Amino acid sequence: MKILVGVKEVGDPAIPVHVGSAGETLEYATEAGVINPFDEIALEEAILLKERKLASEVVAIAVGPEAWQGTLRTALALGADRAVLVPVEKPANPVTVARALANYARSSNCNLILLGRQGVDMDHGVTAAMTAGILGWPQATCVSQIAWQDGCALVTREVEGGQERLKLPLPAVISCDLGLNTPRHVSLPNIMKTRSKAIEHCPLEADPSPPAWQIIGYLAPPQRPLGQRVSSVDALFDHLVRAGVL
Amino acid sequence: MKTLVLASDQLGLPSERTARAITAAQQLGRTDLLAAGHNSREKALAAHYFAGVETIWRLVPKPTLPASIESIALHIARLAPQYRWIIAAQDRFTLDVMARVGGLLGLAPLTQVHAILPNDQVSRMIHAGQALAKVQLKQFPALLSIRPTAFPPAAITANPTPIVDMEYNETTQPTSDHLGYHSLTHQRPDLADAKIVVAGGLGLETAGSFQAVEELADHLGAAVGATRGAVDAGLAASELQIGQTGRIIAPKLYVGMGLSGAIQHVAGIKDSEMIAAINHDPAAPIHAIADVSLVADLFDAAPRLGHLIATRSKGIC
Repeated sequence: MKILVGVKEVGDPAIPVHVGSAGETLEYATEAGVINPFDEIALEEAILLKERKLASEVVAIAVGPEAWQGTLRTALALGADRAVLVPVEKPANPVTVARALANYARSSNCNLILLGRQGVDMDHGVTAAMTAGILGWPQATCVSQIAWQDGCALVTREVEGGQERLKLPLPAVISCDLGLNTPRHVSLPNIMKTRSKAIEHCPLEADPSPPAWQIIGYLAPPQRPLGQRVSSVDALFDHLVRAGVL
Repeated sequence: MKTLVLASDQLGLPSERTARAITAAQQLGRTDLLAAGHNSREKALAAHYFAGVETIWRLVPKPTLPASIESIALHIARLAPQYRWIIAAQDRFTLDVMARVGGLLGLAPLTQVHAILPNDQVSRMIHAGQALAKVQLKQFPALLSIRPTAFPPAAITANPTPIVDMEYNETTQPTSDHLGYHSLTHQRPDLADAKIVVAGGLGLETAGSFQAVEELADHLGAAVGATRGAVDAGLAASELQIGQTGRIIAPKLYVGMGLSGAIQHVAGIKDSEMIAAINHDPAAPIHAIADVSLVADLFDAAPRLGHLIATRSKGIC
């Protein structure tokens, strides 16, 4: 099994984001980026498969600006064998990312693509199924358990009100949810070791069609009216009764 | 040109979210509905009495062809040129189908759609609801996955919509094989349908269990929800997680206990009619978001609140 893991860099999800005054930009309190938390789970799963000798190679790939090389180095330090950057100048539309992942997987004979279930910045959550659609491969998203049997993945995915179990023949695309594993911490010696490793560059192929849509501005979300602080449980109860919600 | 609504799914059963997608579709004009999956008959019948649908297409499963996400997506991609908009209320089933259709057509779907605007524009929630992105559609059919809590359900009509059977196109693509569902068979209502939701966070960790949350929920006939922190700490099942990466809810009353109000959690509750919070830390952000909040130890407050509710429902006070 040769695994391709998609990684993206996101702003630290614990730090708030604001809409700029003209509505043209998003303002981040810090420039520091982190690896998308769900991609970290995907990468961990790939490394675990390699450690169990079920996978021969783990390739981390990012479709983003040159500045994301740091995130790819983290992927190497965590245990990826190779790291590939598909350079783009502006944040890429999901169709561009999905095409780049599909092209790379095809040309490098990867037979499993592991991705995070969604990027915690733009919250699209579509890249895994789009990539699977482009390749014509089976898909499973939001997967919280994977077992391997006769070369097939037996997965459990989180759905509304419960779980669904699916069997996927390879090649396949799987997106990873919380609970699949606990990502390891990157160690300092491993970070030092990756300094000499090269990040491979793979040029973006021209899109056969323009993206379906374009962001033209940002709006602050609707604000809730200011609430009321009460001083006792009884006052809280009275408030709820008067509001007619109990 | 018309709009096609893809019916939603919950553990292989029809979902009330379909009615919300119909409301969104009607803002765009004439609407058809597609019921797909091994349960397509039940989905078609459930959508039968929603007002404003012209035709319900029922995709009839074949014994030789599994009604997988992969084959449903292939079918929709072939229907797509007849429609200007393809809409679904966001859930795991519809999101998977829509995204795969997007891959087949080379058109990325727009998810987390919060409002449909004039001139082929929509707004969608990003960064866990901290901002809305305004988006201009440029290629059609446009694939929209709406936040169900942002649209009311469609009205009911006395004149049922005709159901027309449709055959699957043959596919030679390999597909995933559905092995089964595992339903959470607890006594409480599901988060999606509950009028009242009681949620707990890491404040419950000292007790080592969710008992205080569950007891209050049972007094209220409420669903139980949890923050990601509480799920990660093993206090609650992952199916109960509310927020950016969990369930998005819009109950009449949400009660948050022992949770700070992290951005990721608030993303899932901000459409609630009333938000009440109990947290001992006066600086916790949940107090600023709540419509009514109390600074108190939840282990004192929850039993007292439960007692008041129980006494009232017995008609004593």
